[in-house]
Amino acid sequence: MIGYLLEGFVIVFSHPFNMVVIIIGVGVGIIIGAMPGLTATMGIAIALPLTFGMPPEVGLTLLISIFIGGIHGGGIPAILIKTPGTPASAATIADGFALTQKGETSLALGCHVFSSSAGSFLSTIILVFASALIAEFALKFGAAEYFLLAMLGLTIISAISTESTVKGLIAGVLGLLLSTCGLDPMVGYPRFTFNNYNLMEGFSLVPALIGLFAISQIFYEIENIDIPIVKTKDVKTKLPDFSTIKKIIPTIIRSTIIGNIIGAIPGPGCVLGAFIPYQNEKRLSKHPEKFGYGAIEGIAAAEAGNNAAAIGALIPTITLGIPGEAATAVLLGGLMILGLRPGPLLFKNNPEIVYAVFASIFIACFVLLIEGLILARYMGRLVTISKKILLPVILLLCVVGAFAIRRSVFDIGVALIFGILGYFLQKLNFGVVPVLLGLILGPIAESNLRRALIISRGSLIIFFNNWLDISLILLGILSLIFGIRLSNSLKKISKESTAQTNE
Amino acid sequence: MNPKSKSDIIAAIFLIILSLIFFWNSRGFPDSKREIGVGAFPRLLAGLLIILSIVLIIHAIKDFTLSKSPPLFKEFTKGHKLILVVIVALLIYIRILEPLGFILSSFLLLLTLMFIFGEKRKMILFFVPIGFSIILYIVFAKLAMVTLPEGIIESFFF
Repeated sequence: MIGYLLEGFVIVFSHPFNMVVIIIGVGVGIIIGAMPGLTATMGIAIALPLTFGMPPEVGLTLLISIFIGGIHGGGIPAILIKTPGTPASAATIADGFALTQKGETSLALGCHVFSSSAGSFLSTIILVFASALIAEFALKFGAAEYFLLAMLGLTIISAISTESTVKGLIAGVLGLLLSTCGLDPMVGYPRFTFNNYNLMEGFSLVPALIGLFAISQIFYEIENIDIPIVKTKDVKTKLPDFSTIKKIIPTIIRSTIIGNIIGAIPGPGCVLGAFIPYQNEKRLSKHPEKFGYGAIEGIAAAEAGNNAAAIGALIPTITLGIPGEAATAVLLGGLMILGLRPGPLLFKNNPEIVYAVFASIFIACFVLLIEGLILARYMGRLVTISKKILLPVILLLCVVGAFAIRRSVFDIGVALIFGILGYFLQKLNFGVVPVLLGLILGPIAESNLRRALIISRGSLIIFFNNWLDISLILLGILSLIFGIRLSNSLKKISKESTAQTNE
Repeated sequence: MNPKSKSDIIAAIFLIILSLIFFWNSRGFPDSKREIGVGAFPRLLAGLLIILSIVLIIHAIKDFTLSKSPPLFKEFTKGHKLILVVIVALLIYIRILEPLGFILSSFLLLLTLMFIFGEKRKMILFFVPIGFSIILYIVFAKLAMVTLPEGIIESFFF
């Protein structure tokens, strides 16, 4: 494993283009993350078409760099103007903005960038070891297990990602159903093409995910286009001095471990990855009363936590093909487009790609430290760009991205339709992540299901053959039960709060 | 019944209709008796979607006092109108992209949207759309090796 990792570093350093990609990716990520309304997920979706034609490890590095930069960048406007750039930085607002009000912006930004990159770095170490272990274990999988694994991933995401299990499941099944359009994966019979030549290969993935994650988000932002923008100035940034770093190191280590584990569990994602370490540090602190009023440990916990969660979320995505939340779901789509088959075989068939990507992530953590310090100085200007200019420009980027993959005008229409669909799904709390997952996993699930049933001559016994199958099924059932209980308790909470407001 | 449950029911009915369309279209798929065929998986999913939608309707009727979240469209605001405008603009863009070429049609799209969103400064209304369209054309042509649709302007310069 260490040998592979060293080879990975050699691959990355042997070609200067790789470094350029990391620097651009992290920088673009920070900018996108810092602009309120634009999320890391959206950035990955829009950048996807550009990776087409790159070698897979370079394309993947670009997308992951944007992800890491984006999660970090979200904290900058949280500190400067009390608005998180991405939801994952909501926990940074209280302490970050309190420091800005005290005139200590540069201390806040310094702690922020140091915690983000240290958190990312430590979390990447966990990523490398955990992935190798899980991939080893997952090599025993056959057709039946692949089908069950795809179903398990979809069930977990559907059951946990939205407030209502039924709605999440509906979104997941809808994605699967839409994935059956086009030639069927076994015998090539055209299904649900409505005599349209463009639908022969089904809905292409890139326009669909640009629609679901970027265009729908633009529609959301258009609704609030008239909200005035807070003005802010350029600031100075520097790394915190040694005594400050010594003070926040224990916080960063604890928060990274917690954040990484939360990120690796499909469902909760980076938002909880920031909040839970924050609460934990507040509980452990000798001065919990300072939290929320400018405690640097608060910033360190939240920002190390959310970046650690982002990297933790890569573990199940890369090893099992089960993404934890929106950004990694889009990343999974990216893997498919780059011609890599997500899942356990990725490690077996393409170890050089996986470890080159791991090496790139390590480098990206250092790039983040440098770029974060420099870019934060001018972020004040960027976050105040008017949405009246920004949104049309982003929309055009989406349109071009949808077009570029197949040079097809039809695909712009597909992106638009999925954008409208995504907008309504989010408005009605169905969630868009299960739909994308269904679209990606549909063909994998169907071909493995049918292959398994051919092997077993139509007998369903093949899905209960060994303890592995049975435990996958049990995990699926457990996640459903957990999801239903979770949504029931959420309903109870909202019922009680409704009752309170009515009194 | 609160409006939130109402929009859930409308969504469920829409999903049931969609499933029925898939069911209807799957007739005539070649299915063999020995192994599961072309139509089995989609039909299974369409059936599942119908069942889940019915569960959603039952939930919505049962829980009508529960949610205090606002309805989908409490009123038709300016924002919603702008979204409709964007959709129409994109539909027109899809029509004009190949005849007019990328730069001209993108210029028109950006100009229209920025103007409708309320940007008034003439310099910005002109230079941002034209500059961005040209940069994007070059980036995609040179870096991603994708030639975007060519029209009058592109044939002059590139």
